[in-house]
Amino acid sequence: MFWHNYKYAFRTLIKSKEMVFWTLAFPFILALLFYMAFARLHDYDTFEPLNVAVVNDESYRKDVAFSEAFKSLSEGDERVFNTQYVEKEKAEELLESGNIEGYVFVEENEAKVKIKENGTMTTVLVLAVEQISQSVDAVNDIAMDEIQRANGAVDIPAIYARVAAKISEAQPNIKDDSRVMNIVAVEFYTLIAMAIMQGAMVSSEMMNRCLPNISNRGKRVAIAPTRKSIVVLSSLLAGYTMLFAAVILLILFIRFVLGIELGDNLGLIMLHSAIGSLAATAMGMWLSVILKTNDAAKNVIILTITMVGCMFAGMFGGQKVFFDEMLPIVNKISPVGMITDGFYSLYYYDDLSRFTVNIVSLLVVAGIFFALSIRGLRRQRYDSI
Amino acid sequence: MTVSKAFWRIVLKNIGTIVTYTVILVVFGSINMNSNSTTTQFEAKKPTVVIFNHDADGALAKSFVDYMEKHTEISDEYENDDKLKDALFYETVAVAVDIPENFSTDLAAGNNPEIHMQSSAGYVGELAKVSVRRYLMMAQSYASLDLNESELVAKVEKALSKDTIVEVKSKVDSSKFLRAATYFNFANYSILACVITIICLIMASFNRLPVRKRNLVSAVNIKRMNAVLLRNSCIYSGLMWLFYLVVGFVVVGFDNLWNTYGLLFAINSFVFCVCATCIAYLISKFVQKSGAINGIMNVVALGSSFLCGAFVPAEYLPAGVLTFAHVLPSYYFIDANNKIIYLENFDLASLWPVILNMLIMAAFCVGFVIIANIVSKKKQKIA
Amino acid sequence: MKNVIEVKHLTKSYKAHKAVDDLSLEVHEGEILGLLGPNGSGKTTTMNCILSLLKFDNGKITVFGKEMTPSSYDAKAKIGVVFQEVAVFDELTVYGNIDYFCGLYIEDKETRAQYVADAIKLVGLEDCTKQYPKQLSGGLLRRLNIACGIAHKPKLIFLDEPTVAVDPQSRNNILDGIKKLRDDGATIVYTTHYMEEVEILCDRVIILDRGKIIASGTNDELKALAKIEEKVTVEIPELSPKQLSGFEKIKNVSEVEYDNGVLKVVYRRGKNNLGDMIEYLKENRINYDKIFAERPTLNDVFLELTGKELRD
Repeated sequence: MFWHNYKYAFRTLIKSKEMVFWTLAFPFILALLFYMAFARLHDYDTFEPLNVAVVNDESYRKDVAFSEAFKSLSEGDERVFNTQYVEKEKAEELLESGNIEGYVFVEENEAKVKIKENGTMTTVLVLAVEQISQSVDAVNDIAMDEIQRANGAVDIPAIYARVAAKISEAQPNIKDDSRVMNIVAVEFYTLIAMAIMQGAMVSSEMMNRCLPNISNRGKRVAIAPTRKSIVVLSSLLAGYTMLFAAVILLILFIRFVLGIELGDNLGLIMLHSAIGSLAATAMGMWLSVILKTNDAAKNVIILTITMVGCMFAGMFGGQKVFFDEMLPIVNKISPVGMITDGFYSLYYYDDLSRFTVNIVSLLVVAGIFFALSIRGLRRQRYDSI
Repeated sequence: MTVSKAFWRIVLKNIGTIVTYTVILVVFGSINMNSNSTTTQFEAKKPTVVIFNHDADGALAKSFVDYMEKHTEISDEYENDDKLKDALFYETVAVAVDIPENFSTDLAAGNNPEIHMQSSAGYVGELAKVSVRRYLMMAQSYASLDLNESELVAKVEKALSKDTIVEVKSKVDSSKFLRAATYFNFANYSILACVITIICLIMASFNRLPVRKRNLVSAVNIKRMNAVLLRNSCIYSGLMWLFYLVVGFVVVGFDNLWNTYGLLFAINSFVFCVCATCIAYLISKFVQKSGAINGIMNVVALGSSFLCGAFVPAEYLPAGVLTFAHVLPSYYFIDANNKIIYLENFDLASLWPVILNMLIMAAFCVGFVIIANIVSKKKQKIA
Repeated sequence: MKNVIEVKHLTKSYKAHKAVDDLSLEVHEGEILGLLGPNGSGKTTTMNCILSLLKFDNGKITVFGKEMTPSSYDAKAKIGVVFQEVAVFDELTVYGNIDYFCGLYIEDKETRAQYVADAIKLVGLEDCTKQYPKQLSGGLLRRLNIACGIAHKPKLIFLDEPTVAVDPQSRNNILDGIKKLRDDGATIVYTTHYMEEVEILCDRVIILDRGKIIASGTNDELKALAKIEEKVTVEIPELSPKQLSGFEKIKNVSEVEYDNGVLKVVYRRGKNNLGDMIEYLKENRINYDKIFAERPTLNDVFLELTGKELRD
């Protein structure tokens, strides 16, 4: 009986276009969209060289230290700039037409930058010019100091060369403890959380079939000589199977096809998804029991709850920390928040205490929803159907 | 007239949808506008830096903190704990620097002390790292000279005090209108969602087979009924446009929109609303089930928004995605918004790129309506 | 005679509205009981109460000799219900649907396969076992709905208006199927507002109105209540007022009506009324085209009892 119902419940689910769309197709489409939209945002290291120009006039060529240093940034594979050496008029023209981010010129022995607009790209140019100027000044300063101390008979070019070399080699002893992290990964965590929570639709649909006050098929189930608990449990298990399978597929797709880092512990990721799916199943069950509307309306409600949860978890560009500070309670009680935070802590933190908190919270949420649902289901006769 | 009455009754029944997408627009549009993250306007806000100074008495340490104070925003709200880690992850803190004990004396003695640093992965993190690195490099360069601590501090500070003179060509402060553009770009999503959902739902309830049959046999001329539906759809879209414009004035600020730029934004978004109506009209020819409408709407609205730069600014999208986005009307709407903010003159030559985008959207409208009519001609007999 | 169902003093109200009002009835083993009444008369509510789907305010219901509760699984196993609304899965084929619902009753796979095949044969869906509900016409869908309800060979079957909006062919098929079920030994409670079906099908009829039983008995017993023995209709092209008044004096005639060339004569009692009428027409040399007699229908009974038509 249990497996008979399970078998048919599963078969109807995977044939239901609506269920397959929301649990499988929609998250996959979103994952692809995210991947395309954020593809460049997370490749910080691979900056394309900036297109800039230099006004190659007498005063620029005279400032050897600066022009040499700038040239070194414009050469080789790791160059920062694609530099064109042009006349001032041509540089203006290039800037106006938007072909270059800005141009460098030397005036009164000082390197200056002209740009069209303040922005991310132009700042790189300004910072680079600033750094070169400061280094050039420092070389001058230190070299002068050495020349003074040497008292006359010295090889001035040699001193300059030595000082310049020393400064360019100067490496502060910085130990970078930061993890190689990618904020874009959070988008995918919320996406997985969304896919999991939309599974509430599946369990709601499964419950609707068992409830005589919602569907006629539910009446059939109610008059059959089978315990309601068996039908309900096997239906929910079928829904859970479908949901969990969809989530696993999504995770594998995100991890191995799109190549998004989710952390190394695949086992814990699966555990987290499994428990998240459990909470989603319980929520859908509860909503189906307490809401007395048709299934289309229930789905809209579930979709809205999920989407609002996703927003607070940071899917639409607003950041999770922002909401954590503004309305800390939301992500603490929202299953989407818990699932997102669980994936995040699994990836970002070495110790599992925060992850465990999320897992336990999800279990508690699932437990509460199940308990409330069972209370609602105990009633076996209805006031009206 | 009864057809119109039924139309607006269905609109009212679905007011929840409109409210939902409007709330999304207001909340997330504003957050995007004021975001200090990597996306826009980083220049306006300095990166936030956390410094744990274990060499409080050291002159160099103090000088370093001063230097950072000048170039970044120093926050003392964080301990070295999970909260800091989260802030680094979410890029609300760009860099956290740990200055070790005896940092100043060690550095002056040429010992090159180790400094621990954590940075966020984003662009702002990189920028803040540049500041940290620059100070330390300069200090190390001068440390080779035989100087005492205070001399060293003076030399380093002098060397770093030089700023590059930057000339800005544009006379317009585009950042002022960037907020408006961000709002209208985000509205791309809400407009598509509201217009497609409601119009498709209405068309679906009029086209559902039994109702359609009843309409076909009723005294109402079917062509006239379609015309009434279309006219009401346009009125509805027009109202949505007006509504989002008013919301825009509230969210962006009245002064920022009550000018020629605001007028251009308004015209551009109006053209886009017409375009969204045509998209909805086309979709309604294909899809009739309410569950399916919800799905298609989400794919169309989210797809256009992500691929055309409504959520993530277009300049951060890969070139291939943007090339593909040219087939979507949203691309021209968002592109026009982004072009408007850089306008300096309002003569025809300057306005032409914006007008061209609007014309392309209009062309999309014509195309959608033609396809929709071909489709409905084919379906006319099957009532 | 054994009673399969006994309902005593059942009362069920939805807020202020009394849907079932102190209703008592019995269903005998092996009979087809017709529950007849207009929309909203309480037929379906009574059925749902018997099935323990609905809470009720008052009364006692026993099925197969035991009080009926939601967990009366023994009783439920022997009951089959065909609901008014089609309740099937769009995602399953005809065979899949019947097998699924039958599986809620019959665990054994071989028995179930046999039962499902029998049910398909009974409703005549052999040619469309692999089709999906969406591909079926309204009539075939109703037949599928019936098959899903009775595939497990129940001893007691509730049919709630199974022929609503069904084409004549499917309807005949359904009615034949129901008779066959009775012949195989099932007890049937048949809810409808079609009088003709009740007349063809039912051994006994209970007429409900506003939650109360207003009459019950066999077809003939009920018809006796109509206080009409026979109606004779004659098409007479021309009739003078004098001739018309003559009809009223014929033996047993209680009402005469002439309109548009059609004469309607109602007899309260008596035998051979049609013969008498033909004789009278001959004697008086009245030309007529057609003449026929009708026995009273349940509609007449209902009209007589409530003053309103049964079918709205």
